[in-house]
Amino acid sequence: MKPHRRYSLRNYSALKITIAMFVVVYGIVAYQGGAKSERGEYFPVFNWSLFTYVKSVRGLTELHVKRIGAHEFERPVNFFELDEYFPTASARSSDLKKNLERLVRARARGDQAQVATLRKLIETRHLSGHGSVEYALVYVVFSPVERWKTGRTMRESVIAQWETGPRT
Amino acid sequence: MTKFHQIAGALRNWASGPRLRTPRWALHREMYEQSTLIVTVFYVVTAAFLYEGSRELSDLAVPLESFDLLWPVAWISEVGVHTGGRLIAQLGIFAGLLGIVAWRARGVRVLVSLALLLYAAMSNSDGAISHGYHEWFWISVCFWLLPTESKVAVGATRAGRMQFLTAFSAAPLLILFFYTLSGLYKCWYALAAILAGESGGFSPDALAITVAWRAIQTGSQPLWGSFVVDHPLLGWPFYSGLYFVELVSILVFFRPSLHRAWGIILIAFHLGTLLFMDIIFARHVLINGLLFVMSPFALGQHDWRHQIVAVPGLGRLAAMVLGRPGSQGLKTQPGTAKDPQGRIPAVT
Repeated sequence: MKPHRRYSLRNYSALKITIAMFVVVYGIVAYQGGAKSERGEYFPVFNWSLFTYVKSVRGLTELHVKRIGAHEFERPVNFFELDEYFPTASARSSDLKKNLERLVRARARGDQAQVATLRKLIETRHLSGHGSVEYALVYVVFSPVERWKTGRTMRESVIAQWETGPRT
Repeated sequence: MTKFHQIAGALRNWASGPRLRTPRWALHREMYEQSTLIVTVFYVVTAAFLYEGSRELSDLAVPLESFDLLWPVAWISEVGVHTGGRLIAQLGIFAGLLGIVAWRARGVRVLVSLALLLYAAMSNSDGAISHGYHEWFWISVCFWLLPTESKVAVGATRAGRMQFLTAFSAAPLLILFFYTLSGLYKCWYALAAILAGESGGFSPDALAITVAWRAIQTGSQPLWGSFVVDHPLLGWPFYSGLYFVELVSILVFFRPSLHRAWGIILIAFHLGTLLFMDIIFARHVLINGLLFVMSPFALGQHDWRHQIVAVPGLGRLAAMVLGRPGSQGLKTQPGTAKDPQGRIPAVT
């Protein structure tokens, strides 16, 4: 078989430079996306900053449910304890946490359209199927290890309270 | 030689670490065969992913308001979730099949990437972005660089094989770069915590804190979570080791003798994320298996002494203990390397 003329060492060098440039540009875009994008990345260029922060005391926005339909809880219940009502409560995914964080950020900067979009999304995906639900976004400060062992938190403050749909 | 080439050469030599004196060029045919096999497997598995995902997409019954559409699927707000999901599902099945039979055509590779992008975008349009398909998508983009001719035509010349192997190498380079990025962020903030006198990534209880934090965020109960929270010191070497493995990953690309070991270590790390944090990285296990455990560039590099000496940062210390492989135990004599079939026997 005749050797293929298309391949040459010049092409080979150009290819190596192309690959190096690609990696560098990816790194720059990924860094920028992590720093500036509302979603934490310019999809699908992710900076792979995962579990970067390790702190003995942290704050987390949680979804606490006060009432489902006609059933009112004595104390607000963490959404993850309500898997008998809501299937996504047992999904073991960080999706809800990420959406709650986006919702809180949108509220803080006064972006009402984004707040409305995210509220609808959270209520449709996580709180539907049992009529009206009264819930609160609560910012909880705690030591992760301490809370894991004893359930104790340091501070809880309500950020917002809402209700899904009309009360039945 | 220009200044640029001198600097690039010096950087490459530094990144490569100690080298075998084996004439590696003679292995290029086998490397080429191995890399074409890996690319074929990649497109077969991609078809399986797209096929599996198409059922979920073709059956979407959730309202549009439960989505926060990412830019690649923003058009779905015009056609509706049901129609959009079905279109993406059918494109996925079609592109997946084409990828298996005709991945050598660049247009097909681009189509497969498009199908993956749409699927990943749709899966991540519920407001939060997960990263299960990111690496897979970017590998498919790296494969756009592969030559388009038939296997025989590309493999007929050394230049063709080199072109293929170099294009193929973009995928492992990018994946290792991702791990290094992750390690850089972790180490940066861990150092900042030390300087601030706070608990951080280098703290003895860092793994316990991370495990508990993740479990509380998601309401999950990892299989080995309680163990590491109750015995935080046992997690310390693993967590510090992970920081090191991630941070230096990019250097491993230039040290092919470490590819297999790094692939296994990274797979073990992802198995650990399930045991300790209840997070599944199934596709990452596949990627590390395909690109590193099966690395074509690691062919003929099995000597454990050379692998230890090649570990970034630890190599000099190991070389003092083990001697410098390549100058003693691993050296191959010029003119004796090739067997009658023109292949170099694996260095043992």
